[in-house]
Amino acid sequence: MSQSGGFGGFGGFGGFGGFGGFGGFGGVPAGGGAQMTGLGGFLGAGDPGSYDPATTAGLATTAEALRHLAGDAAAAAPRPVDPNDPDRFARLAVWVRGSLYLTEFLCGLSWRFDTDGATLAIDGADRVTLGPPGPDLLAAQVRRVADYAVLRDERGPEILSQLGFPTPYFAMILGLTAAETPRTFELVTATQVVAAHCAMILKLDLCVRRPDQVDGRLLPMIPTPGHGAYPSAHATEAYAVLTVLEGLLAAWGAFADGPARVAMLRGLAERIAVNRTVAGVHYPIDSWAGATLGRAVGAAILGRCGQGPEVPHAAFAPADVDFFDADWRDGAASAAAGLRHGASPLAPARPGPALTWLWSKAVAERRGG
Amino acid sequence: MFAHRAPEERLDRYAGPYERWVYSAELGHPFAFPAARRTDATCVAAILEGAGDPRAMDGDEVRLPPLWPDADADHAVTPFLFRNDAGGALSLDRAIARRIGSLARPGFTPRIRLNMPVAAASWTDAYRPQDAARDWRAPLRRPRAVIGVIDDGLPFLHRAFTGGDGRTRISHLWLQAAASPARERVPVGRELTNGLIDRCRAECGADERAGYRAAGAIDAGLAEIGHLLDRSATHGGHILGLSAGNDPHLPAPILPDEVQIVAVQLPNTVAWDTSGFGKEMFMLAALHYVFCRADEIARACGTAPLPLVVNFSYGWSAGRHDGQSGLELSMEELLTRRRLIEPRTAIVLPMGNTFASRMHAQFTAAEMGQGAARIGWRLPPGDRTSSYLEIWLPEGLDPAGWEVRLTPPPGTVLDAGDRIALSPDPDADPVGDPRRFVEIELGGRNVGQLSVDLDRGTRWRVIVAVIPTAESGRGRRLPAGLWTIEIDPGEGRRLGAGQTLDLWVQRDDDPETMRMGGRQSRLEGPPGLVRGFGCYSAICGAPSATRVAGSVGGTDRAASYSSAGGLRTDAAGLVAWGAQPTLAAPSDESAALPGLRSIGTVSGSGARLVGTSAAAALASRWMVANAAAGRDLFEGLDAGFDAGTGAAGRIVSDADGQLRHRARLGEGRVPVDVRGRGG
Repeated sequence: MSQSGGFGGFGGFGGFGGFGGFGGFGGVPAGGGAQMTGLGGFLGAGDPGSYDPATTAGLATTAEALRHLAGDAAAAAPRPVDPNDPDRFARLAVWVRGSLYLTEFLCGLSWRFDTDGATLAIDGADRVTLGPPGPDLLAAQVRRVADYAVLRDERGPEILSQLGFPTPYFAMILGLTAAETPRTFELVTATQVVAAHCAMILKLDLCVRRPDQVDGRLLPMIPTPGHGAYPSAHATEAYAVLTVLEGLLAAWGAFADGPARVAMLRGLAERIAVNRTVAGVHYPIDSWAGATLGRAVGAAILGRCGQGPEVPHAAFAPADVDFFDADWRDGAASAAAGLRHGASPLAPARPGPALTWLWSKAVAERRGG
Repeated sequence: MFAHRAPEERLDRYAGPYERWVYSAELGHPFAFPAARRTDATCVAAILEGAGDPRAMDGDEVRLPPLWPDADADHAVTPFLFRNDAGGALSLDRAIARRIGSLARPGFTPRIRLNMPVAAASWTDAYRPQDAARDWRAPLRRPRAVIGVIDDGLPFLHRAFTGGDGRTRISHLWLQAAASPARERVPVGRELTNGLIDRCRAECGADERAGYRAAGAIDAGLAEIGHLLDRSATHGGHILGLSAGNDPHLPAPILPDEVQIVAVQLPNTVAWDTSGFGKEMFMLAALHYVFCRADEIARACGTAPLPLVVNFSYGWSAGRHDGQSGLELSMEELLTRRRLIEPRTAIVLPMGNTFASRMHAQFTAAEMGQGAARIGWRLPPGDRTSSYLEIWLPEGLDPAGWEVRLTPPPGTVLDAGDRIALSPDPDADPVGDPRRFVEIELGGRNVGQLSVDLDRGTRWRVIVAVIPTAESGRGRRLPAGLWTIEIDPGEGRRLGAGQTLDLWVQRDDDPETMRMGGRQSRLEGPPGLVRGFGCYSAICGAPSATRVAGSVGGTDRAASYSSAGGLRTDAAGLVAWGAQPTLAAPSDESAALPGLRSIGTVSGSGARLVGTSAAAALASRWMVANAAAGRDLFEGLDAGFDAGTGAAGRIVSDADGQLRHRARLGEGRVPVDVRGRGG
């Protein structure tokens, strides 16, 4: 952490919204000090950077003094590194692995915008289609955003501490620690980063105005992010992490109170999404779209990890509804909200070596009680 | 959907709309406070309003708590407790309906209000009200006045309550929800006397919390006691300190040893749940207990009846607001009876903290016009508790033909139950007051209850009760947003001159200690309809009660939240209605320092509380100090407010200005300076 502490100044990258300033990289969930963007929490993690000038000068002087002690024989030929070493990823700095996770996920990604809306495909199969909300629907939804503003006083600390990735909130529920579960944090961060990228791709095509651009009386309590409202990147990230953690919990199979923790994780994903409505920057339908997209992204991450759940295509054509996790899971309520699922499950996303390695390490960090 | 019940198992034939809502599984029961959600309750508290003797009920033991002057005096309301002996064979509502039903006789229809269940461990095995107090000893100095305090979490071992002789000034303390010893003078919980408290203090030394654990005042096994006294401060500690303690954190006057303390600690839920349901038994029994023990002290010390000031810093917002609720009638009866013996007797209550909370609306005949009265009820999202709105018609108005309608926010269509006729339901077959119930259904599930009843046989009331807006995992949820209430007289009688239609929203905030997730709903309407004046505590209206408003220390201004008496404009101009504050006491130290300083839970600690609760306690302190000095309770009241010039020289000369002044601040200000007493 200390090596990358100098990157802290990047934390103000607030314009990125869900991307901006998130602390949970390199296995340190909170208080890490480094607020990264771009590659997400990975950028700089494990990067040694350079020494300070005094150390650099001291090292050079010492090198001059010691080099002659090693003689002047020719250098020996090195032993080759085994490119198939299953643990080769362990030798990489976290940020390098982060680059590999991201690349591995994105290489199968494509998208298009047509009359149905914006569609995200992974490995050639359409996974999610989000229909655009009409102007009348946005006008109806701002009333709900206004209703939620009364919760700002009590949700303020949550909202402000969730501007970046809300990793500590997930860690609280699962008892994750930097010492014992560093690769689990890495898996969570990888999921958040790719989920945010996916959300940004679809936001660009769907072009939905933020609530405060529709109704000036909403007066958001945080800066309005510089990108479209729909889908919510926070909801996408939260539900992607939820999907991956549910898979991980099942693989751990270790918590005696596993169902209770899953219930709290679901409640947390809902709350993270709704908090953005409370803040005044998202409509409830953004959470519906984000949750739907997030589940698809989370399932695809599991696919890249070699786990491959088979989920059907999801299409969301938004209606004027409030967002609740229970409704999103409920067949009738989600149908009324405009969520449809394809009849047959799709092939899972292809495994990738980096994420498969990460999964095996996270599974080995089995937590339970 | 509301399930059919056999006539003898229908709680709604005997009990009121709140009981039906809270005790029915398919209505509000899943969302009720934990104490009311218990389905295995074996001991239940209740009150009987008006004539009758609860001991005539069939079945297992029925108990009356100590009543003043005695059990056989005619009481406006009789608190009682009984065992639910159905043994789990019936759901609680059905079992209780059977028990209550056994009290009805030809020509006698009991009016019962059911309260919360009591934990089995609190039920005294051998209830012996005539026993002598255990280890009570007469104070060294002959008492000159008694201060009663009824509240939660009372830190009775705190040094603030020791006298100059090193002994506690707390003469008697009733922990209503503590585990009961095998034999006790109170029907539930336990009584501690000054001798027991002094011994406990001696044994625990500086570790007061160890003393509370030993005395059963911290008890992890009983939710209604729990760990409250492990907190750094409690409402009750603050109030007990301010009304009866001496400590560097507390203002003058210093209370002499001649002021003895009688205190009652309510069950936690009673103290914290402010929904207005299920607490009267505990509150009323507490008042009677204080009156009884004050007499006991005087008798044991060989004095005449002592002056008695009872501080009760508590309230809720929805109710009759005409002084005629059961609790108010009981307070009036207690005060009237005791003032015949000792005129210096007072029950001190706060006006409330809801002046700016938009929880009251009033329609005059002119405001209703020829059509229906219409007002918005905004139910916030994320509310995890039920919300209640009460609509009160004027006494004497027959609402035949009237209807109340409910319109949900846009996008929601109710299946059923969007209206209720204001008339008795002949099929309800009530024992007691006429009533009618309608279930509000959405998506085939219950989300609320509309009720109509003729409260105490004198005033028609409509209650809208709705389930939480937050998802609770129970498959039911109310859409948040602006609901519209329409009150339509139809072809029926309209409001006459001087008559009003009044609405109050029940208090629904979230006492941090309960973690129930309540969110306050509010009324919305055109300017002037939603009012602060008249939005005061529904239990402070007994004519003889002492009502305390909160002021800002060092000013002649009311605190922004301090509830005010009723005012309205009619043909004759501005007129006062309902209860008005008796007096004001500072509830904020200054404009810059909200709240008052008082003691924390353990000796040496401090705490700050904002609200008229603290103003009431300060007034009680000043009143009992007056009594102990041989003065009248209100002697020395600073009448500056009302004499034309305020304390800061403000002129309040016009009649309307004086009415407004009195509605906010009463007849004068308690002359206690709270400024500069720490931060």
